[in-house]
Amino acid sequence: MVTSRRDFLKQAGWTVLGGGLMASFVELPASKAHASSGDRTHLYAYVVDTHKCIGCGKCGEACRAENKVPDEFYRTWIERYTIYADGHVDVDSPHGGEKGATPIKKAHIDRSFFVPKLCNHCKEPNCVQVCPVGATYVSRQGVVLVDEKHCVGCGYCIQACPYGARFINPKTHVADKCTWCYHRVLKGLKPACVTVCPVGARQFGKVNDPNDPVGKLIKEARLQVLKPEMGNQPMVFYNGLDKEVR
Amino acid sequence: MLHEIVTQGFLFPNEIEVLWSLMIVLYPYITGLVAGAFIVSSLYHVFGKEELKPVAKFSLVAAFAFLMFACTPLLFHLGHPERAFNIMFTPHFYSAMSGFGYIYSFYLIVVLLEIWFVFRPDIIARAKSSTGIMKALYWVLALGSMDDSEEALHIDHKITLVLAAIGIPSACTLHGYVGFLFGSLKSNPWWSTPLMPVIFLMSAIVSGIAILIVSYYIVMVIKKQPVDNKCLKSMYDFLWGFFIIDLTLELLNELASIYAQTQSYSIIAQLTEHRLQFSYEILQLGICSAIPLVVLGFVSLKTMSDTLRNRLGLICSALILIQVLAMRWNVVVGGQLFSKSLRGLTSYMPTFLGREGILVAVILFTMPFVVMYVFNLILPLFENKGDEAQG
Amino acid sequence: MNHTSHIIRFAVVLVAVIAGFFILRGFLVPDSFGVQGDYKYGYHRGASDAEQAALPALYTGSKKCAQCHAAETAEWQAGKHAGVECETCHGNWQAHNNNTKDKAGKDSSIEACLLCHGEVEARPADFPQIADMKKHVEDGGGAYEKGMLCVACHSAHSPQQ
Repeated sequence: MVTSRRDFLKQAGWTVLGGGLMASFVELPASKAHASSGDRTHLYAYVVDTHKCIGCGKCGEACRAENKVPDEFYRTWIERYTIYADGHVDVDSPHGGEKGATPIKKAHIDRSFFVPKLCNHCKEPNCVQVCPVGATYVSRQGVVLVDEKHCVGCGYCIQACPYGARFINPKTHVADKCTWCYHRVLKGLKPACVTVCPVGARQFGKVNDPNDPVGKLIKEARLQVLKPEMGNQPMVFYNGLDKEVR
Repeated sequence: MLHEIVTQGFLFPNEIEVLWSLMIVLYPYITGLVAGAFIVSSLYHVFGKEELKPVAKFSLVAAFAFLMFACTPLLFHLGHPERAFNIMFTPHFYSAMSGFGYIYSFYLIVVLLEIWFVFRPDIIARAKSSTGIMKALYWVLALGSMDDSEEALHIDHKITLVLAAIGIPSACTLHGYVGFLFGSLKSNPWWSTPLMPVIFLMSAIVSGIAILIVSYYIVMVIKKQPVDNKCLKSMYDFLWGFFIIDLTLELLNELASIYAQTQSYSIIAQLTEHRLQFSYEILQLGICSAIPLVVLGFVSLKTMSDTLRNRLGLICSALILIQVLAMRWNVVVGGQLFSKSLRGLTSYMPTFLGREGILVAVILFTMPFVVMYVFNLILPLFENKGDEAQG
Repeated sequence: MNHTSHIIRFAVVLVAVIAGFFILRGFLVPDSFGVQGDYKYGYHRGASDAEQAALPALYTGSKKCAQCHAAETAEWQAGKHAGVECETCHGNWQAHNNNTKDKAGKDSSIEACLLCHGEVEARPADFPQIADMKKHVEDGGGAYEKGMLCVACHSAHSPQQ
């Protein structure tokens, strides 16, 4: 009697638990998914030419206005690297480089250059991998986005991003980052930073379009990505990356 | 009162402010105490360490009390605490973090069940002897079932054994898992090591035993009852044993980092030298490790008077509690004090007031003890004096 | 006598709590939530994409500007700044359109020009940069005056050199 009751209980328990879990997590994709979304492709790429950048900061200013980025946080920024003859490396980015750059009053500079940074919209983004609630994701077009209505603001994605591209927005209290101006791109515009760049150091386009200058560059130029050892496969490519850039 | 952030070198502009605050230091600390306390209770319930009987119930309830508040620091930290349940509603299991809600809930159920079965005879006894509201309360706690027959208690005992056996891997999973949260982040060289879960687990067990020793001692002093020296001695032995493993792993981790000298080494060296000198070099690997390691060795191996042994044991337990807290601080805060550009350092000091301040941390840490106190008012955490005098 | 009734009672409570959780979950998870593409990178609230795509664009590009400022556009396209968008110097179109009297985007100060053309080591060597205004003016065959602006010699819209 006792054993049969327990067996029954055990079975009932497993059925409810198992059934519930199955219905919720396994069946959910089938019942609730929008199958029409189709497969994800990485439509776009971004190319930064460090040889062209003049460090004027117009990109950062435009990004802030376009995306209402709160003060002291950055969806994009410009770093300046200065390598001295004695091997010393100096990196600075005052105000994210948004207010332009001032000359350096020191001699013996071997080389110096600007490196604009932004979210890399990786093919294998570990920020998305670590989101516990499905609040950050890769859109159909391959753009890494944050759902500010679902994000709990735990900050795990910020810790996971090797590039420092994410932050907690002090107004919305959720993770915030560059969206490649998703709202502009889908309207056929370029991201705001690309639009205002006066020297063409920032370019944005379609990967597989042979008529697109960016598509052509990615095919033909010898470009690098930041921290390739992370295995994130960035979709922001750099021309003229120095070994000192991380 | 506001801490001025001091930076050195270059940081990515979004890295200036430390994101995971004191609350995230407290979270693995409290979670660790759960695991440790549960292990002690299992040593009695599963492994039959009879000398631990005086703290068997206490350790189980302590595990429950800490477990109840293990998540609260997270709620004070989340940008949207009202969305906290999203982690269980829409879990993204690719994330190391998403399992937490389920592992935590499972473990909570196991501990609750075990407490219920262990305390059922007490609940029934009190339900029978009390009147009025209290009688109703005990009746509800007993779920209306007053069956304390030999057969029923025999079944309970068997279930308790099974639950405790399930509880041990659960406790290890829960805490090893907290270590995995950090250890699995490839972007952070200070965190990313497969040793992290094991170190977290070992330090959890160590801190749990230490807090049981300290609180058992204090409770007995307050109750003006003699301590059970055999029980304490056994806990010192276990504390020493687990601490040796814990410290070995921590030193191994440090040694591997120093020896390998990868790209991140220079910034890690600066981190420990400039930012974590006190909490890491002096507290975690220095004073709070060396003294307990040596003194607990004597306590375990040498014969000495009970008074001396308890004094030394108590001091070592307190030091180990600080050691583990320092370790949590060094991992959580330390991992955010250097830039992922590996070129600069920032600084962090918790505020006293505020949502993630020291005051809230102290209150949250006190709450489990309040729970234990209230629990003791309803059900006895310790056996009667008569049983204890034997030790 | 049966001695498992208390266990059954606990089981009932437990099952009720777990069932309650799943019922609550059913109500609280948004309809569009699910896997779109793959679970690893595509598990999210589907409606979020469209919400973000619907945000307004403030920087619209020079075509919008040309609608009202045809003469300036023609002048701009003939000079060396033809590759520089209007909004780079003038700020975004939307702000200007909201308040056309707002001339904040019109800045002919020397600092506005030097933001790009001041001499900075990190700039590409072939990019025109001015280190010493006096020397620059005299090299060009002009007469330097204190407080002289770049626009005294160059057209900001359409510099020829």
